[in-house]
Amino acid sequence: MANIIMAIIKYLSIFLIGGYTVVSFRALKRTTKEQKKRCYFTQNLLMYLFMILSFTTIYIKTMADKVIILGGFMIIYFIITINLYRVIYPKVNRMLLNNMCFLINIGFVMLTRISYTRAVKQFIFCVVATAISLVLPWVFGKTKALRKFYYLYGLLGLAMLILVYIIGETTYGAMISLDLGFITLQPSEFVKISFVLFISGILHKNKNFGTIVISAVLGGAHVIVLVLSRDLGSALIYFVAYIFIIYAATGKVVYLIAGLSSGAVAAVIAYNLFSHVQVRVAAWMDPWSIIDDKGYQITQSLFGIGMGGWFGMGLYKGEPTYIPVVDQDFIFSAISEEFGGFFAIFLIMIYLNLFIVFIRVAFRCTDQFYKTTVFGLAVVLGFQVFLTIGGAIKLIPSTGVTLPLISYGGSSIVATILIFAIVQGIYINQVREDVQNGK
Amino acid sequence: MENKSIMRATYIFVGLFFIMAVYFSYYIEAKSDEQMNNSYNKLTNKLSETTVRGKIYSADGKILAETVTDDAGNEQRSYPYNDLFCHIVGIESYGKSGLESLYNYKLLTADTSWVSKVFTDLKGEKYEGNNIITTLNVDLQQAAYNSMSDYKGAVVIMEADTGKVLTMMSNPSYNPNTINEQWDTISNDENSPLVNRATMGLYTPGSIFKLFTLEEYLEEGGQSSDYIFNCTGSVQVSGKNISCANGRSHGTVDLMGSFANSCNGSFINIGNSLKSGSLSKLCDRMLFNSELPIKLTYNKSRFSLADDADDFLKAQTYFGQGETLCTPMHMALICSAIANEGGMLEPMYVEKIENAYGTTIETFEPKEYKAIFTKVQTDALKPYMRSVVENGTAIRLNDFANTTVYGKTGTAQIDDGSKANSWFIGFFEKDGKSYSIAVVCEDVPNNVSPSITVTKEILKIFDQM
Repeated sequence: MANIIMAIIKYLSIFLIGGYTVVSFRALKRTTKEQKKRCYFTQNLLMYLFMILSFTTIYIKTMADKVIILGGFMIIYFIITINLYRVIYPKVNRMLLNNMCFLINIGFVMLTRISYTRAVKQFIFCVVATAISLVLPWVFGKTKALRKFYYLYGLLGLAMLILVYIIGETTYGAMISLDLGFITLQPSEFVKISFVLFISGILHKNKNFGTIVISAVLGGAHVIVLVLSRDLGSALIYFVAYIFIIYAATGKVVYLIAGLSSGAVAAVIAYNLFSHVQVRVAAWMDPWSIIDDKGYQITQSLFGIGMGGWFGMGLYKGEPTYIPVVDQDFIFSAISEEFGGFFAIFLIMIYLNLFIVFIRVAFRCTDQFYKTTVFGLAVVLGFQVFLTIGGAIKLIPSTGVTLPLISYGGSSIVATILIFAIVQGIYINQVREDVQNGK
Repeated sequence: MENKSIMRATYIFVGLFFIMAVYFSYYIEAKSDEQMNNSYNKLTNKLSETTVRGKIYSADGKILAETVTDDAGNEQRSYPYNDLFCHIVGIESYGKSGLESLYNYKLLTADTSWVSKVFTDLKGEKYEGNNIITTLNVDLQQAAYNSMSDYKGAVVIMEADTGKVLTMMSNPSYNPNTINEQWDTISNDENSPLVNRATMGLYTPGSIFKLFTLEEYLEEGGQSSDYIFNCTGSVQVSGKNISCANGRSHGTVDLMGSFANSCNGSFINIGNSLKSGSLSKLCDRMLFNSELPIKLTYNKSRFSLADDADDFLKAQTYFGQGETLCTPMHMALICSAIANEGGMLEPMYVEKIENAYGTTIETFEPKEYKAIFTKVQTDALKPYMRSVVENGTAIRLNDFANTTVYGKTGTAQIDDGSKANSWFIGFFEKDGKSYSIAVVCEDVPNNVSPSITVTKEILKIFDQM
């Protein structure tokens, strides 16, 4: 009997996420308020259903009451988050809010399945971050002066990264975290935000060549420190974000081309200079010949994806923990292994939907600083998704970054929730202005 | 203005996401079974929770391995022929071996339509794994098993032009049905019943090695009519006495006579006339010291002869004592190549894979691995191998109604010379088809050649098939 229930849930899950994806893309096309509202309502319904069904499977498999309690708290968290945002900010971007919650939801399910204690930790981080994030849109709407301190963002961020380089803790061969005694912090997750604010701010002031050189020097310093700290994924994200913001702000294709080609040259130099880059590339080119060593992680990931096939092995029918660091860099493989290829593709599409929602907010902004900020944050998240999933499926070398809102990691989830809050703030502010201007 | 560049950037990202989705779909569709059937893929063990392991059949449809489920739902792997196929079919527990290991992933996968899988899922049942139809022939395997009952050793029989393995047996054996109860005894048995001697047993070749010495001599332009040797029963090399089998003197022999009667003295003489280093080169070409396309666990055959080796070692090497070691499977592959105008085929153990409903999922085609002889060379060699049976050491194999046998015998002395390994390698023809065979019997008393008897017993069955 339990097997039949779990099998039904397995296939229902694919329908639920598929339905969610379809509704999300339809919502982008809907124009009337009523139609949109119906979409948002359906999204929430599907999301709660997915949560309840997944936790049913988890309960059947573990028979642990604490799982039910945790799942209950999580659903309450989602209900409160969604409704509190709507009450405090009637103009809140529901698409942004729903997508954020659904992705966090998928992360909760997968983490609870992999490790209960980690899921609890992640949940607590989420609650705290969401509480903080509730005031951020208000702050952003009120204070236009924030943009003036761009040098502060640039220098402070760089200082943080240098600090990590000097006294940072080494995790999986990279210096990425600061041990503050009571908590371990990954500053590069937060500096992403200050980095985008810095570039947007400096370009808002002035777009001449001199400014771009200054931004390139300070921005480049961020990237170099990250490479030295062996945090390759973050270095790439910062670099790509920088190039695209410059391109968007100036509208000059030459910056995009120059930036990407200098990036290619830098990549070749880094490959020849650093053994850790060579290791990643070797594990990407032919992991099968070094399967017992450098290729172990990526081949385990491919085994997971391959064995999962289109329909997945089923929740608890696979063994995601065979993949080292599965709950962070390789959570996508775990999802693909147990929920299947269809589910995973819908997940990719939800991230794409999210990216488009970000871009739409950027489009709507009349304020240049806000426009580049939202666009920059969209690039940061979009490219991070590309690096994680691309690395997990061996499309590109693995760079060791998290899947936003799903992977385990306090700094990662808090920073991403803050990014969403900032974009919400900018969006709400813009809607308010549009209303005032009679649009 | 900026919205235009933002739009362009968006297209780039939408493109990246689509590439990701397409590549991901491609991987799921195109991932190879070989990739999944990797010993590092521990997830395959998980498959038995959702799939009932498929059956393994002989070429004529007899069940060699199946999973039986009792009323309580407990699964038990059952091998109806007990120890008859224990090495080639192997076991699915204790690290897995044989075909159970080679096709582990396929046996635990159900290649049926996804609709039927969904229905199976929703009924709460397990999928039925794919079945494997092997190339193995139960009658020949049984004949090999019966005739080898008194000896440790191995028998391999292959179809020369396809590489299909009809028989692969190794003695001593074990009963895979009771492996769980007897694992400790079996794994600690000093006779190593777990070892598949056909692919892993490294044996001194003895006189079967003369095939290679002869081949090199022929390739260097030697001809039977030009060659004369006077055998007195023994020769002196570096002050040591080397005698022919049983100390018999062969008298005056030509090249064919030397080979047919396996004259040691004559082959020392032939070996000494070869170009320096040439035998090593030939053995490289014959795939000694190199990888073979056997797929099962195997050992590489070994040959080494330094140019500055002493005369005694050289002499020993020429007639197959020396430091040379080879596996029965390797010798069967070489004989296949001789029968097949020089082309060595990859051994095939499996004809096709079917799903539980009998639909063919995958058929395997014969595949040439390497041409190790030219047709001219094999044409030259065949009469020599035939003469061994017609009027030489294997004359007992010359009286079948339908089967013509070619080959070479060998008696390799081991340790102090009180015991020997008895070999027969070669090929046989019936109804226009050729088959290769390699037989080795271990630790036989000197003076007897049980491998010829074993071959004869097997071919008696084959001749009437």
